[in-house]
Amino acid sequence: MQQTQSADTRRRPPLGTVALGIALVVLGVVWFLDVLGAIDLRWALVLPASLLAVGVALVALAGREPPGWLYPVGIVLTVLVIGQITAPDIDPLPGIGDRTERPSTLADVEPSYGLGIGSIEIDLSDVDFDDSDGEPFEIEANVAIGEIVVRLPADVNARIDGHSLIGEVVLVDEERSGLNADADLTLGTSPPDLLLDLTIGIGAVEVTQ
Amino acid sequence: MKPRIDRSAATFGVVFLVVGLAALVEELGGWTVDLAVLLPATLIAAGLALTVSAVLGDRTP
Repeated sequence: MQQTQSADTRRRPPLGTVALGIALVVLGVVWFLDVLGAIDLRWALVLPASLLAVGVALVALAGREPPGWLYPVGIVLTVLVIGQITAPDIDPLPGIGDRTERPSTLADVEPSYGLGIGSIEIDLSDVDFDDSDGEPFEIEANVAIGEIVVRLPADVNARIDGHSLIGEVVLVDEERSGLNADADLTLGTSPPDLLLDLTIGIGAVEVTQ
Repeated sequence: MKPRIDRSAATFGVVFLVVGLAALVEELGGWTVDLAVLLPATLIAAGLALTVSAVLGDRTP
Protein backbone atom coordinates (compact mmCIF):
# COMPACT_ATOMS: atom_id res chain seq x y z
CA MET A 1 0.00 0.00 0.00
CA GLN A 2 2.78 2.35 1.01
CA GLN A 3 4.68 1.34 -2.13
CA THR A 4 1.60 2.15 -4.28
CA GLN A 5 1.23 5.59 -2.63
CA SER A 6 4.92 6.28 -3.15
CA ALA A 7 4.65 5.24 -6.79
CA ASP A 8 1.59 7.51 -7.18
CA THR A 9 3.52 10.41 -5.67
CA ARG A 10 6.41 9.82 -8.06
CA ARG A 11 4.09 9.66 -11.05
CA ARG A 12 2.33 12.96 -10.22
CA PRO A 13 3.60 15.56 -12.70
CA PRO A 14 5.22 18.67 -11.22
CA LEU A 15 2.38 21.06 -12.07
CA GLY A 16 4.38 24.21 -11.45
CA THR A 17 7.07 23.17 -13.91
CA VAL A 18 4.46 22.06 -16.46
CA ALA A 19 2.64 25.42 -16.11
CA LEU A 20 5.90 27.35 -16.47
CA GLY A 21 6.85 25.30 -19.54
CA ILE A 22 3.48 25.88 -21.20
CA ALA A 23 3.63 29.62 -20.36
CA LEU A 24 7.10 29.91 -21.95
CA VAL A 25 5.95 28.07 -25.08
CA VAL A 26 2.84 30.30 -25.40
CA LEU A 27 4.90 33.48 -24.86
CA GLY A 28 7.49 32.30 -27.39
CA VAL A 29 4.87 31.48 -30.04
CA VAL A 30 3.08 34.84 -29.54
CA TRP A 31 6.40 36.70 -29.67
CA PHE A 32 7.44 34.79 -32.81
CA LEU A 33 4.12 35.61 -34.52
CA ASP A 34 4.63 39.26 -33.57
CA VAL A 35 8.13 39.29 -35.09
CA LEU A 36 6.76 37.68 -38.27
CA GLY A 37 4.03 40.33 -38.39
CA ALA A 38 1.20 37.80 -38.17
CA ILE A 39 -0.14 39.52 -35.05
CA ASP A 40 0.38 42.94 -33.49
CA LEU A 41 1.48 42.31 -29.92
CA ARG A 42 0.97 45.22 -27.54
CA TRP A 43 3.69 44.96 -24.91
CA ALA A 44 1.63 47.02 -22.46
CA LEU A 45 -0.66 43.99 -22.26
CA VAL A 46 2.10 41.58 -21.25
CA LEU A 47 2.30 42.61 -17.56
CA PRO A 48 -1.45 42.42 -16.78
CA ALA A 49 -1.83 39.25 -18.87
CA SER A 50 1.05 37.63 -16.96
CA LEU A 51 -0.52 38.65 -13.63
CA LEU A 52 -3.86 37.25 -14.76
CA ALA A 53 -2.16 33.98 -15.72
CA VAL A 54 -0.45 33.73 -12.32
CA GLY A 55 -3.80 34.34 -10.60
CA VAL A 56 -5.57 31.72 -12.70
CA ALA A 57 -2.75 29.22 -12.04
CA LEU A 58 -2.92 29.77 -8.25
CA VAL A 59 -6.72 29.40 -8.17
CA ALA A 60 -6.60 26.34 -10.44
CA LEU A 61 -3.89 24.70 -8.32
CA ALA A 62 -5.41 25.66 -4.95
CA GLY A 63 -6.83 22.15 -4.59
CA ARG A 64 -3.38 20.62 -5.05
CA GLU A 65 -0.01 22.04 -4.11
CA PRO A 66 0.73 25.24 -6.05
CA PRO A 67 4.44 25.99 -6.56
CA GLY A 68 5.81 28.54 -4.11
CA TRP A 69 7.45 30.76 -6.73
CA LEU A 70 4.04 31.85 -8.04
CA TYR A 71 3.54 34.07 -4.94
CA PRO A 72 6.62 36.34 -5.28
CA VAL A 73 6.15 36.51 -9.06
CA GLY A 74 2.52 37.56 -8.56
CA ILE A 75 3.42 40.15 -5.93
CA VAL A 76 6.11 41.75 -8.13
CA LEU A 77 3.73 41.78 -11.12
CA THR A 78 0.98 43.33 -8.95
CA VAL A 79 3.29 46.18 -7.91
CA LEU A 80 4.29 46.78 -11.56
CA VAL A 81 0.67 46.64 -12.79
CA ILE A 82 -0.54 49.03 -10.06
CA GLY A 83 2.31 51.35 -11.08
CA GLN A 84 1.22 51.06 -14.71
CA ILE A 85 -2.36 51.98 -13.73
CA THR A 86 -1.46 54.92 -11.49
CA ALA A 87 1.37 56.37 -13.62
CA PRO A 88 0.87 55.23 -17.20
CA ASP A 89 3.53 57.67 -18.50
CA ILE A 90 6.28 55.98 -16.48
CA ASP A 91 7.68 52.87 -18.10
CA PRO A 92 7.63 50.10 -15.45
CA LEU A 93 10.17 48.06 -17.41
CA PRO A 94 12.62 50.52 -19.02
CA GLY A 95 13.79 49.31 -22.39
CA ILE A 96 10.84 46.99 -22.83
CA GLY A 97 7.61 47.89 -24.55
CA ASP A 98 6.31 49.95 -27.43
CA ARG A 99 7.52 53.49 -28.19
CA THR A 100 6.20 55.99 -30.67
CA GLU A 101 8.21 59.11 -31.53
CA ARG A 102 6.53 61.75 -33.66
CA PRO A 103 8.73 64.89 -33.83
CA SER A 104 7.23 67.81 -35.74
CA THR A 105 10.39 69.90 -36.23
CA LEU A 106 14.04 69.11 -36.84
CA ALA A 107 14.87 70.39 -33.34
CA ASP A 108 12.66 67.67 -31.83
CA VAL A 109 14.45 64.86 -33.66
CA GLU A 110 16.93 62.88 -31.56
CA PRO A 111 20.15 61.61 -33.11
CA SER A 112 19.74 58.23 -31.47
CA TYR A 113 16.81 56.00 -30.53
CA GLY A 114 17.12 52.71 -28.67
CA LEU A 115 15.03 49.95 -27.15
CA GLY A 116 15.77 46.55 -25.65
CA ILE A 117 12.68 44.53 -26.45
CA GLY A 118 9.62 45.80 -28.27
CA SER A 119 8.57 48.02 -31.10
CA ILE A 120 9.72 51.55 -31.84
CA GLU A 121 7.97 53.73 -34.40
CA ILE A 122 9.72 56.92 -35.50
CA ASP A 123 7.34 59.05 -37.54
CA LEU A 124 9.38 61.73 -39.32
CA SER A 125 6.71 62.55 -41.91
CA ASP A 126 6.15 66.08 -40.52
CA VAL A 127 9.85 67.03 -40.32
CA ASP A 128 11.41 69.26 -42.96
CA PHE A 129 15.01 68.04 -43.37
CA ASP A 130 15.79 70.87 -45.81
CA ASP A 131 16.28 72.98 -42.65
CA SER A 132 19.51 71.15 -41.81
CA ASP A 133 22.37 73.62 -42.43
CA GLY A 134 24.34 71.93 -45.19
CA GLU A 135 25.32 68.83 -43.23
CA PRO A 136 23.00 65.80 -43.48
CA PHE A 137 21.14 65.00 -40.25
CA GLU A 138 22.14 61.60 -38.86
CA ILE A 139 19.71 59.34 -37.02
CA GLU A 140 20.59 55.99 -35.53
CA ALA A 141 18.10 53.47 -34.10
CA ASN A 142 18.91 50.19 -32.37
CA VAL A 143 16.57 47.51 -31.00
CA ALA A 144 17.69 44.14 -29.65
CA ILE A 145 14.48 42.19 -30.26
CA GLY A 146 11.34 43.50 -31.91
CA GLU A 147 10.70 46.02 -34.64
CA ILE A 148 11.85 49.41 -35.94
CA VAL A 149 9.38 51.33 -38.09
CA VAL A 150 10.39 54.67 -39.65
CA ARG A 151 8.03 56.87 -41.64
CA LEU A 152 9.71 59.43 -43.90
CA PRO A 153 8.38 62.61 -45.52
CA ALA A 154 7.47 62.22 -49.19
CA ASP A 155 10.13 64.50 -50.66
CA VAL A 156 13.16 63.77 -48.48
CA ASN A 157 16.63 63.14 -49.87
CA ALA A 158 17.95 60.35 -47.69
CA ARG A 159 20.47 57.57 -47.46
CA ILE A 160 19.22 54.58 -45.45
CA ASP A 161 21.14 51.59 -44.10
CA GLY A 162 19.17 48.76 -42.51
CA HIS A 163 20.55 45.67 -40.83
CA SER A 164 18.88 42.71 -39.13
CA LEU A 165 20.83 39.85 -37.59
CA ILE A 166 17.83 37.53 -37.84
CA GLY A 167 14.69 38.79 -39.56
CA GLU A 168 13.89 41.16 -42.37
CA VAL A 169 14.68 44.64 -43.64
CA VAL A 170 12.13 46.46 -45.78
CA LEU A 171 13.27 49.86 -47.07
CA VAL A 172 10.33 51.25 -49.08
CA ASP A 173 10.46 48.80 -52.02
CA GLU A 174 13.80 47.17 -51.14
CA GLU A 175 13.40 43.95 -49.16
CA ARG A 176 15.89 41.51 -47.59
CA SER A 177 15.29 38.71 -45.11
CA GLY A 178 17.06 35.86 -43.35
CA LEU A 179 20.31 35.78 -41.40
CA ASN A 180 22.37 38.99 -41.54
CA ALA A 181 19.85 40.77 -43.73
CA ASP A 182 21.32 44.04 -45.02
CA ALA A 183 19.74 46.62 -47.27
CA ASP A 184 20.54 50.17 -48.27
CA LEU A 185 18.60 52.70 -50.23
CA THR A 186 19.03 56.23 -51.52
CA LEU A 187 15.96 58.41 -51.85
CA GLY A 188 15.91 61.53 -54.00
CA THR A 189 18.38 62.80 -56.58
CA SER A 190 20.06 65.55 -54.55
CA PRO A 191 22.73 64.97 -51.87
CA PRO A 192 21.08 63.45 -48.79
CA ASP A 193 19.68 65.69 -46.04
CA LEU A 194 19.15 62.65 -43.83
CA LEU A 195 21.31 59.63 -42.99
CA LEU A 196 19.44 56.75 -41.34
CA ASP A 197 21.24 53.84 -39.71
CA LEU A 198 18.81 51.19 -38.42
CA THR A 199 19.96 48.02 -36.68
CA ILE A 200 17.98 45.22 -35.06
CA GLY A 201 19.13 41.95 -33.50
CA ILE A 202 16.07 39.78 -34.01
CA GLY A 203 13.07 41.18 -35.83
CA ALA A 204 12.14 43.59 -38.58
CA VAL A 205 13.26 46.99 -39.85
CA GLU A 206 10.69 48.79 -41.95
CA VAL A 207 10.96 52.20 -43.63
CA THR A 208 7.98 53.67 -45.43
CA GLN A 209 7.55 56.90 -47.32
CA MET B 1 -15.61 14.30 2.19
CA LYS B 2 -14.74 17.99 1.96
CA PRO B 3 -12.40 19.11 -0.79
CA ARG B 4 -9.07 20.40 0.44
CA ILE B 5 -8.18 23.88 -0.76
CA ASP B 6 -5.07 25.92 -0.07
CA ARG B 7 -6.38 29.17 1.46
CA SER B 8 -3.29 31.21 0.57
CA ALA B 9 -3.30 30.04 -3.06
CA ALA B 10 -7.02 30.78 -3.44
CA THR B 11 -6.77 34.25 -1.84
CA PHE B 12 -3.60 35.40 -3.59
CA GLY B 13 -4.84 33.86 -6.84
CA VAL B 14 -8.08 35.81 -6.73
CA VAL B 15 -6.27 39.06 -5.88
CA PHE B 16 -3.84 38.61 -8.79
CA LEU B 17 -6.72 37.65 -11.06
CA VAL B 18 -8.82 40.72 -10.22
CA VAL B 19 -5.93 43.21 -10.53
CA GLY B 20 -4.63 41.58 -13.73
CA LEU B 21 -8.06 41.47 -15.31
CA ALA B 22 -8.78 45.13 -14.44
CA ALA B 23 -5.45 46.29 -15.91
CA LEU B 24 -5.97 44.15 -19.01
CA VAL B 25 -9.43 45.63 -19.59
CA GLU B 26 -8.00 49.13 -19.17
CA GLU B 27 -5.20 48.46 -21.65
CA LEU B 28 -7.69 47.11 -24.15
CA GLY B 29 -9.59 50.38 -23.84
CA GLY B 30 -12.76 49.11 -22.31
CA TRP B 31 -12.61 50.80 -18.93
CA THR B 32 -10.57 53.37 -17.02
CA VAL B 33 -9.43 51.76 -13.79
CA ASP B 34 -9.99 53.89 -10.70
CA LEU B 35 -7.87 52.68 -7.78
CA ALA B 36 -10.58 53.92 -5.39
CA VAL B 37 -12.82 51.26 -6.93
CA LEU B 38 -10.24 48.59 -7.69
CA LEU B 39 -8.73 48.33 -4.20
CA PRO B 40 -12.01 47.78 -2.26
CA ALA B 41 -13.21 45.44 -5.01
CA THR B 42 -9.98 43.44 -4.67
CA LEU B 43 -10.41 43.37 -0.89
CA ILE B 44 -13.96 42.04 -1.25
CA ALA B 45 -12.79 39.37 -3.73
CA ALA B 46 -9.94 38.35 -1.40
CA GLY B 47 -12.33 38.14 1.55
CA LEU B 48 -14.76 36.00 -0.42
CA ALA B 49 -11.95 33.70 -1.61
CA LEU B 50 -10.63 33.34 1.93
CA THR B 51 -14.10 32.59 3.33
CA VAL B 52 -15.03 30.11 0.62
CA SER B 53 -11.72 28.26 0.85
CA ALA B 54 -11.98 28.15 4.66
CA VAL B 55 -15.54 26.78 4.50
CA LEU B 56 -14.63 24.15 1.91
CA GLY B 57 -11.56 23.05 3.83
CA ASP B 58 -7.94 23.97 3.59
CA ARG B 59 -4.60 22.31 3.06
CA THR B 60 -2.55 24.46 5.42
CA PRO B 61 -1.85 22.82 8.80
